Amino acid sequence: MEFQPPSVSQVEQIIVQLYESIDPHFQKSAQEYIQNLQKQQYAWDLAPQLLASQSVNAQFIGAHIFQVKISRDWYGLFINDLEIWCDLKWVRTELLGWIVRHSSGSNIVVTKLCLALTAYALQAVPDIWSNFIPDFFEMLHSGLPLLEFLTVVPEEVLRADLIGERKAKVYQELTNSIPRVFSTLRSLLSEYCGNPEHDLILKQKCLRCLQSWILYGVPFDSLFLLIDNVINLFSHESTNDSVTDVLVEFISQPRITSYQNTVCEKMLCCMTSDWAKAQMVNDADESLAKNLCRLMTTFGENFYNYIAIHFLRQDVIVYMEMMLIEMPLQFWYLLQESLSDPDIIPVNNIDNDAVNGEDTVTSTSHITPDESQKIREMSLVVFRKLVEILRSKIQYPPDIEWAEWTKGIYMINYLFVSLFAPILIILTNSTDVKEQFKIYRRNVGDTVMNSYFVLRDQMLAFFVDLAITQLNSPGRNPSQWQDLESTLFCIKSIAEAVDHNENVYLPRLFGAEVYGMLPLQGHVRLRNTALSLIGSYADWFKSHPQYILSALNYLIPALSDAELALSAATSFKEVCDACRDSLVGDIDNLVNMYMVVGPHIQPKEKQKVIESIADVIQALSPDKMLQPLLVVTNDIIQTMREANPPQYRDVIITQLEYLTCCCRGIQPPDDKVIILDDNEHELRNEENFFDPSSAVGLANTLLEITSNIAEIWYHDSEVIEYLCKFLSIGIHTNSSILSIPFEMIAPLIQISFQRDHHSYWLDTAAKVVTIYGSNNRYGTALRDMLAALTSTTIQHVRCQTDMEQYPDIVNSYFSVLTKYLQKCPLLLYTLPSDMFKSILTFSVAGLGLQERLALKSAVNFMGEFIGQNYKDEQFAKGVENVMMACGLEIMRELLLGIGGRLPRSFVPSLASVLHKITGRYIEASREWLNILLSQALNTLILHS
Amino acid sequence: MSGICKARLTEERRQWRKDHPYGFYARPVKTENGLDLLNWQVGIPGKKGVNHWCHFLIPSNYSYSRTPWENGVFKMTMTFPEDYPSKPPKFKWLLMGKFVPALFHPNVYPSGTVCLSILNEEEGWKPAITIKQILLGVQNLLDEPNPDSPAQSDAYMLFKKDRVAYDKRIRQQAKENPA
Repeated sequence: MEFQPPSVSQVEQIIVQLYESIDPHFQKSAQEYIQNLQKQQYAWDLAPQLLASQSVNAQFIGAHIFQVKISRDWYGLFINDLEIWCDLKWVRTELLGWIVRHSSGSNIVVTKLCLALTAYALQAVPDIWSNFIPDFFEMLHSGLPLLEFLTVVPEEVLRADLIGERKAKVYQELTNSIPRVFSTLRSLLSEYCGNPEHDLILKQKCLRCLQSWILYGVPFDSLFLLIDNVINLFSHESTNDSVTDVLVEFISQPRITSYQNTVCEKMLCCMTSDWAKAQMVNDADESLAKNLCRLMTTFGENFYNYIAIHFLRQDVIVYMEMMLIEMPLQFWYLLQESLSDPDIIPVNNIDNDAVNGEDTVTSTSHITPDESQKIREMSLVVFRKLVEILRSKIQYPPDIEWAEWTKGIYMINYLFVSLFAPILIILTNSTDVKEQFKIYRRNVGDTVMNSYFVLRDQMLAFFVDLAITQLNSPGRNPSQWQDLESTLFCIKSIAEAVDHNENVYLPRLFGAEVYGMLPLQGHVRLRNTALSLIGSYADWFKSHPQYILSALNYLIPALSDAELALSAATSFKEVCDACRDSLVGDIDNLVNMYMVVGPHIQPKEKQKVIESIADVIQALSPDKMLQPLLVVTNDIIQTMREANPPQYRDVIITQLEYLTCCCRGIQPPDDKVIILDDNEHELRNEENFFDPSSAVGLANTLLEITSNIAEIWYHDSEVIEYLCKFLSIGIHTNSSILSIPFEMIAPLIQISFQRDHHSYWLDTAAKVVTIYGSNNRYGTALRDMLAALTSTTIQHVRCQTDMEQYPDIVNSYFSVLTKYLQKCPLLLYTLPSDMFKSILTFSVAGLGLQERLALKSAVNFMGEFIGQNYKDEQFAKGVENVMMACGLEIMRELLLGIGGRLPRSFVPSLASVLHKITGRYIEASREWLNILLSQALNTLILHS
Repeated sequence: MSGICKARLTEERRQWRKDHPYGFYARPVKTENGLDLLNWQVGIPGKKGVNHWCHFLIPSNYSYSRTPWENGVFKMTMTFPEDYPSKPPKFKWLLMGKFVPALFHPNVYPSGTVCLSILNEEEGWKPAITIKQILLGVQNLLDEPNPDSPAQSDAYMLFKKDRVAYDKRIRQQAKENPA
């Protein structure tokens, strides 16, 4: 469509409406109109006309059109060859002229014009305009437009997608200009221009320009010359913001390390000046303090090694004192690591010291042993102070105030005394604020642990003493819990780092002085922290068994308290798991406790408790295991017996979960799955010292109950899922107490799977094959089971559509087959030949499925089948016969799949199966390929 | 451990400490011989509901969409191979004891291994991918499973067949893995 050039006044009118209209539809169409206008050749003429307008908006659009045309329509200038040079010069002259004319006008127009001119320069280098920066200096001499141009050039160069020679030229142009640019900036920053208002604008502009060049990447030598000028402006409120930006950028430069000493001297001097210190407590202007904090934090995160080495210097001490007020967590972690790094602070080697009579140091730095000793002493003081502050930071506010946090306001005052909290304050609702506090506590906990590596025993001494003092402070308000909670939280945070042999402070903590005095009622948060603290020191209890019982006495009552149960049960599990050997003598007490408290514990927590007790039962000698186990399981079994359908569905699931947990517990912690072959079977029988009648009784009861559940709930997939989980883990366990014997579980699986086709039965069957597959005595029964499962599966899943509809059954069935291949492959070949054929047909059909789960399992099975390792010749012959019969079909499916019928992500696994075939059956593969390719060719010819 | 691997992991650790996404944690395991940089413990928070930019404007009783993963923190192990970063780390759902079922999620194998394209050497892994990006990727995967790459049958089937029951199960799982 022909575009009719509008008049300037028409365009001006549209621009007015674009900016002033409140109708979004109109704004949108005005915007589209102007965008369309920019595409026209006419726009080259329109741009200067708009720049001549009285309206700033129109001027801006004019400059913008120039920028867009130059960037996107550069070759539009070349329409008339004869006038090329003339046109090109015209654009440059126009832009420069307009910059000069608008230099006292609106900033945004000048900036836009500078962007346009930069775009021009980047297009014109190197043929048309080779030295654009010097030219610009000549044309504009100095002043704001020059600074504006020098600011946008490095930014635009970084943003532009320059390549090849042009890129090299432009970068060279910038590098050549650095001395001149920096000398200009230096004189502008150091001199006063005579007019305070103009001077301020000029200086801010200079700083902004400097920042842009730092971001671009300037040799450090040039930057360094300016640092004093910049630092001098830090204490001026009006330039403080811009100076902070520049300095932060400056000290974040990775190349700065070579100049570290000088830079740090200057920066420390700036940050610890009296003016700066005053800002830390300046309530009137928060932004100054904020800037200072930003600078200090960046400094700390970049120069932590320097700080560690110069730990004793007065300005460094002042700096650290200020950082203690600020509390940026990251810095303390970095500093701790530096202080512990022998390459930074040398380690005084005491052994050598005794021999040589003088300290031997292992470091590359120039710190004397005496200094390093002093640094360590000083760091103890600083970190001691740090942990005191950290503890106070994570203390919960008084209850009333905590409730007020729902309004989301108090958080700022309370938590973020420091302006540099590691969390962004985006206050949304109460949950978020409270959750942020929890995450903040976890981060503080990490910092406390890092500080432990500096303070070690001193920290334990400090916190344990503090806890004792807090508990014993005279006139303590009985409702006060926050301070003690925060102390215990800190002790919990260092659990991972504390030596398990510690025997000075932790005995006091877990003894009468602290745990003996903790409240047993109310104070939910305090008690929760105290409870999880016990769990976090489970490994310590292992080395100090004399403290276990009193800790458990504190834990156990909390198990039945809904608000405490989760932390109590988790800690109970941790302690029982780690200290099982020490607890065996107390198994009767534990079981009695379970009988008393058990009925009052919620199901999820009860699972943990049962597993914990089973952990301890596991550590008993085999002849003593049965009795406590019977007590625990009888309770569960009794409940199951009493539960009749349908109201008790959930009860059944819960009790099945309890049994599963019990099985988990009695499994030794470092045990692998046992696989029974003939010898091991005897061994397993020998190990059973149980009273045979009780053990058989339990097994019979379990069989009766599980069979009942399987029969009654056969249609309920969830109940069957939990039942199968229990059966599977039961047969995994070492001691056969909770296992259903093979002779009974195999028929149970067959019948149940026939009743309703839940894939869980197949998964359990796969477990059975894993355990009993390599034992010849079960051969016949295993073959029968496979035959039954196969016939049920194939009757239920009859075609590819069915396979895609029941991918879980297909997946589990192939898992069963794979287990047979791995454990007792010969059994497959003893199946009736029709059935064996059906299995192969089923597997080949699986290779053409679109459903991912079913397809994946079919491909895996085929890979296993072809890749079987066999030593027996007869067996090898059997496999080969199968392959000769089905190889062609398998290969056809694989090739079609790779060729595009199946998702691309399956190609590697299909290719790997194909590779196995072609590697093993070389001759036959050639033949099959020939057949398949000629068939494909025939199809092609037929179609053409 | 190769020099490249060690240097990269040290730097990754530094960067993580300096800046990591809200609610996450990741730290090398401590052993008697110091830090084991090849084995990390990580915690990935379940995604919150849709983050409206204008939370302030939403009345407190407004129920914006939530994810069933929220309020849970999922603990996993991240194991780096010796030839990291040429090869990606492995992610495993931390099994809290023996025979604890793997994380209920369509893309987590019964062994606990997480199946994600950026963690697959032959698919999306690039040596430039940072720990932060990986963890965010795993967090994303939690709420947005990839049904094209099933790794366990249970979660996959429920996800496909009954989204309401699936969400309920995930919510329960989040509850059992509190922050």
